[in-house]
Amino acid sequence: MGYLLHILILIGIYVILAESLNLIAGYAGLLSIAHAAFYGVGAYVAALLALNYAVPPWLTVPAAVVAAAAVGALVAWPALRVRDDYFVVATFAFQVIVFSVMNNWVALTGGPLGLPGIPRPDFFGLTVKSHGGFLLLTWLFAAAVAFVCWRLARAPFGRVLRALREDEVFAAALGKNVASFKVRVFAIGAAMAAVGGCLYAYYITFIDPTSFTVMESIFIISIVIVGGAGSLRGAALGAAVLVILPEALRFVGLPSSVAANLRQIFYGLMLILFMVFRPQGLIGEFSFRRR
Amino acid sequence: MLRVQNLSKSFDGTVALDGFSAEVREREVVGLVGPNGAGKTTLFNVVTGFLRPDGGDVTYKGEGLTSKPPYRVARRGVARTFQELRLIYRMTVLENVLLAFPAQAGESATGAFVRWREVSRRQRRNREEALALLDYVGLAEKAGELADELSYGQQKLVSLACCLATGGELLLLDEPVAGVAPGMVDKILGLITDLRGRGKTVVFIEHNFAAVTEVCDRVIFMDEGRLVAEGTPADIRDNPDVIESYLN
Repeated sequence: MGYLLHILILIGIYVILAESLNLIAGYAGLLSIAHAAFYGVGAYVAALLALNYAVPPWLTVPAAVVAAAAVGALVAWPALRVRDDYFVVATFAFQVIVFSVMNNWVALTGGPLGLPGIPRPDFFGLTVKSHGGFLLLTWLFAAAVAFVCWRLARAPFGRVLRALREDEVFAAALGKNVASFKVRVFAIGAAMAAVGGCLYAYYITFIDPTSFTVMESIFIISIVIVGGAGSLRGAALGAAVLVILPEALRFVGLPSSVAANLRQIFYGLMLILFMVFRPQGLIGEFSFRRR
Repeated sequence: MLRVQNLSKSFDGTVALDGFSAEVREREVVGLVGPNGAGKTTLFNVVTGFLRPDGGDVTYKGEGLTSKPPYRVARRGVARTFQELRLIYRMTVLENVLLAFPAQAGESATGAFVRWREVSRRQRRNREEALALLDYVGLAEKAGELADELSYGQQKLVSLACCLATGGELLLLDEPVAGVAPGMVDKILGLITDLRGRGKTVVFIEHNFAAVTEVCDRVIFMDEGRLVAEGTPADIRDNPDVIESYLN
């Protein structure tokens, strides 16, 4: 039962990460490999505040959100000057930088040893510690993030994002401040990824840099692509599929060392197959593959 | 209304604009003609901020527009279309027009959450206006179709409707009738003439001299980045420099 709930909690966290990346990559067409970095910024900010200053969660989460949004805007600014492939490389570079900071600034982040013993979140005397409690908490936040994404996507704001994805020049000719929209969507997406980071830190009670690597960013991108870029339901569906399917590998009786490698191969294979045969994903409207 | 002075622009040694100066008055329909490579599209790109001029000034309604970014130029009231037709092809015709409305409250991220009533009222009004504009260009029944599914001529009409939706008073149309079926040419030219009645000023690039003669008050002929001649369509047609330019 605990295992099942654990899977459901992970799905909730990945729904948050996928929905927020979907806004950046699926709607605005900005393929970012930095999402795990924002996820990590959220986790570290919340963990450090909780560990070092005993800040309660109703303050650590907003702090993590603001920090990630600021970092997101900061990354978007230089990255905006380059386009398409170069943008991907620029976000990749940022991802590597964030990982290096987490891994090497030992005094602050604990380096490779990470930050153990993150206290259970306490909401005004109510401490969340059971799997059931975390499931509720995670899914509440996932629902909130999904609602925010849905509202943004449906609003005229979302229409401009979709226009940027298709033709920036046309959008600019119609008076849209392209750079400003990109910075905003990047900051908003980063902020929501930070929420996922907070939940992860509080749930596992231990974080280290290996949870926020490039591989993790690629995993989140896989969710968006498999689910369907530009579709909110697609991102949620993708999160469920990509979290659940590899778990099935555990039950075929392979030794865990093999299973772990097999999992990476499985993700890679899935990504390739989708790119080739179903670039729009399970229920997406848009593909990264050029027409 | 629009004044460009001494504009120059070159690309890797190729001179596209060479001290070009001209003026457009309010409610004029001006045809911009000249051979290929004369610098017509470059002029549009410089005026609308997509290219930075090497020298010279652009003034619109007494305000400097030189080297302002495209979105600021558009917000001041200069709308344009593109020679290689630009639309959001995977949006419906209606959505394309809706996109063009200026200063939409719902385009701020917070606008999606707060002031919801104001935002949705504004969206309803824009929707009505967009449908009216589509009706004006004769595409009312195509509103729900993807822009991709329309004919080339219809797509040009959509881009014109987008220009109108921006509320811009000066419309720079880059070859609005090139490559369009004959029946559609008359329709588009009819609209261009009619726009004056709506308080618009139009400058359009065109190769087809018959089309220019039909609708223009004034023609500006340019070649090699310079203004060669300007005047009524008849003047230009009979101008020896123009004849020579085309013969060469």
